[in-house]
Amino acid sequence: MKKIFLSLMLLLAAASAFSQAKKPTLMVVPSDVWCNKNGFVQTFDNQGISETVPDYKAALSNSMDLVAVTTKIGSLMADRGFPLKDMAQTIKSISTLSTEDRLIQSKTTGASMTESPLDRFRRTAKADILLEVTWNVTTTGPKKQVTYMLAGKDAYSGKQVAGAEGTGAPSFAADLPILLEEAVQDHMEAFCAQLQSHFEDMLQNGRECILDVRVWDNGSGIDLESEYEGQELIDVIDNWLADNTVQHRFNKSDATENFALYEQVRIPLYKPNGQGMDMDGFARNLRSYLSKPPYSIPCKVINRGLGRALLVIGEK
Amino acid sequence: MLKTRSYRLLAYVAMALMLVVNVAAKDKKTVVEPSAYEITGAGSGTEGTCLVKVYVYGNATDAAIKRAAVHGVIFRGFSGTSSGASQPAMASESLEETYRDFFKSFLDEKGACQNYASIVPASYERIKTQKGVKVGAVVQVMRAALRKELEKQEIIKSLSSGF
Repeated sequence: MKKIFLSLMLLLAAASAFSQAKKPTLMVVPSDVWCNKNGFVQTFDNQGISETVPDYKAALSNSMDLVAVTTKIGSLMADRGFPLKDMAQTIKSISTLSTEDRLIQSKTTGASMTESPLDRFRRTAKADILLEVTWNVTTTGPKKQVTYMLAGKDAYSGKQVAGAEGTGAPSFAADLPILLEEAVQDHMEAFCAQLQSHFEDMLQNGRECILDVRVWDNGSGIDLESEYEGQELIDVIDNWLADNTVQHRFNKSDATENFALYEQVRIPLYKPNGQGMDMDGFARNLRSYLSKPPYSIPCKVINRGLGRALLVIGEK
Repeated sequence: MLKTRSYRLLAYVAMALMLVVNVAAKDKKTVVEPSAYEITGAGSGTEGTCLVKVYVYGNATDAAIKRAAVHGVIFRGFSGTSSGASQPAMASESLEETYRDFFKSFLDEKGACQNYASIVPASYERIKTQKGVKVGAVVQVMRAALRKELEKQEIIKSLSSGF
């Protein structure tokens, strides 16, 4: 008995020693302001309202400065052991894979792969933390001065997790690419220090995520006010979150009988078996809890990335 | 006679106590005295390096200037780069005390810190102040390599640690 217990303890210790949290992906994107200022935008008519969105593909194909800045940031981050997701490469591979997927057929029946409109819509360049870069050049006579800004934004919570900005000294001699290179290099230390604090907070207090809860409009009569053993369904979800989040930390920002928005949900970084945990896995645990008696509610979980998931109540 | 002996014994005990307190106080001192030098940015270095201007009080040698530059980059950080960016310290000051043995040999004037810094030629300066003479020079510090060494020694964490 003692031997079995010792072996189990050793196994658990080994699992925890080798377990790793899911690494967030980072990608450099030009800020909306920069895209607007440099004309890399697309305008379309959205039900009578003219909307402007950044055209990253055009920006990466035409701006030499942007390519130089993103490459420099990428090489500095790779040097710090955190290689970035390359936006140009991601856009290219999405386009190539879409064509390839359309051509794939099964050998037996010649069937093509299933794809819903949602699947198609989701084929975009995504990352967990977006590094938004902006710069502006002020010219006074022969003098050039660069103002540089780099902001790391969490794609799910929208929070700025790191930032660095500053205006360089006016220069007579140096060309713009050199001034930009200096700015990128000099601001990276402070930026990485803030990013490291964010990661340390995450490793200590759990990953900060968002959970959306919605109800299928299927006429089943189940909504978040439905009662189970004297408790409304929303209270059941609240209690489950309180029991399963790190230090019971979450914030119900908004809720009606049809939806609930949980923000600042601090989920543990690891599953009990030592595997890395993300919001999808966490929401799946909630779904499995609700599918058991006394609730027996079927639910669907839709993955929205490392830090966000949607739970739709009522059916799959 | 007995009284004299007691006084003598008391004096010995007091002296021993003072010695212990003195040794303890010396132990708590940082490896490089913070007041011994000044550090500020001196433009932008090439990738993986930084340029700093260091002033060391007293008739400082090249080794003392380089040691101060490395100490400043690790524990103080600096501002005054040409791009307007301030450089944070690599490690908190308390780590100097925690890893005292490592830093004592690393930051010695003949220590490994000398391999991470080089003085820019013709950048020496000698200024007379009220506190005495201070000697300054522009030093290029190999920041990326220095960071990697501290990460290897597990004194600071890498950005990807924990993932």
